[in-house]
Amino acid sequence: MSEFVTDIGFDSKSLWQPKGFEPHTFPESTWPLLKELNLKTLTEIEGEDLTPVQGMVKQPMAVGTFRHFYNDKIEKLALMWLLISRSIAGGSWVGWPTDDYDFPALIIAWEESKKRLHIIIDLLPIADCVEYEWYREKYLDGLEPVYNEYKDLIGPNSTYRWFRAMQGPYHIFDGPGEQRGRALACEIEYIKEWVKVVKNAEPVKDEQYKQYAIRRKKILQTQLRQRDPLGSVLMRTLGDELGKKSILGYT
Amino acid sequence: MASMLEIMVRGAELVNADEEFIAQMVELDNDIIFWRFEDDQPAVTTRLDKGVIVVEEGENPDSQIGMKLKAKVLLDVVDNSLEAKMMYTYTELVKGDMELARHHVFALVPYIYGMQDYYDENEEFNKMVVDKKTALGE
Repeated sequence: MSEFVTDIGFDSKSLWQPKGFEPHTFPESTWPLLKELNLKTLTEIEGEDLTPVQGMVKQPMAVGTFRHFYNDKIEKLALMWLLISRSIAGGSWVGWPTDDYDFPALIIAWEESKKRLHIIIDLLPIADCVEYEWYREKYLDGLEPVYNEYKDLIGPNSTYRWFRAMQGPYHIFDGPGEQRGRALACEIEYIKEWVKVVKNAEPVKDEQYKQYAIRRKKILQTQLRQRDPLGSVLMRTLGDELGKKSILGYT
Repeated sequence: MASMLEIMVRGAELVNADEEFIAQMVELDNDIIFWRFEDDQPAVTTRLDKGVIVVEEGENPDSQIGMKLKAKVLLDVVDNSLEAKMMYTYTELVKGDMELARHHVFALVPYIYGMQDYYDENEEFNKMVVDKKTALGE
């Protein structure tokens, strides 16, 4: 068992430098919120050793690193900080509950280049929010004030129908224009809400509902693993072995 | 006025001579894609050959991916008015599937980003792209 992690272990500005712009300090801006969760370092998932991607990864088309954490409520929480083709700074946090919990998954993506910013901000519901309306009220409606403050950031939604189908009711996707600071502030607010939800979460008691939540979580993870275009990018830029580890880390 | 073939050949010449992109493409090999333009002739094949981007006339039958699109779509990517990954939205795959396309087209990232850089920095290349877009009525 590893010790609680209090330091993310790298400085994003010195890890790599993109060409022609200075990316926002996504890791340092977000990590302080999450470290409150008393996280431990996760070094293995499904028998796969993650440590090779937790060091500095240097490939011709990509350079960067990954971090993976867990605690008694969080099955896995993955950070990516990667520079692709010296032009795109890619950051993400993806977090999932253990099988004993049903709180939403954290999906935060930050893809910054000289001329563009692409964001995905969501707390992905593990349960259907229509069938289980209490789920939305319990875990997601706390986002409403933040969503209302930042909903001007919403742009054209994902082109992937399977991804649109799994989104939460407070999903924010793209359209930040030059509002990079606001986009990062919104990501921070969503992470704060997720941290609050995780802290307050209690184990699921209803065994039938628990099995439903586990099944649905695994379907979400599988769809992301098999279909997320980031997966193709990671396989292509990091190679099959490191690419596979990086995908297992967040799905 | 330059054809898409001539623009893509010039882009490849610039990128293949750039140390930064040479380093990124060093491990890329045998990704073959043809580009069938609805409004320009001839079709073009791009091929990664041991870290070098090769641009040839016609639809190479060994291509893993074939794409049908308006010339403007690729020109928009080159002048960065269209995000590169959004190109799929305006493209019909005439050979291969989306999974294969994501894999093989990603090998062109250094080439595409290189052309974007040269559009900003190289007056001659910029003019080729601007003139072509103008001629296409955009």
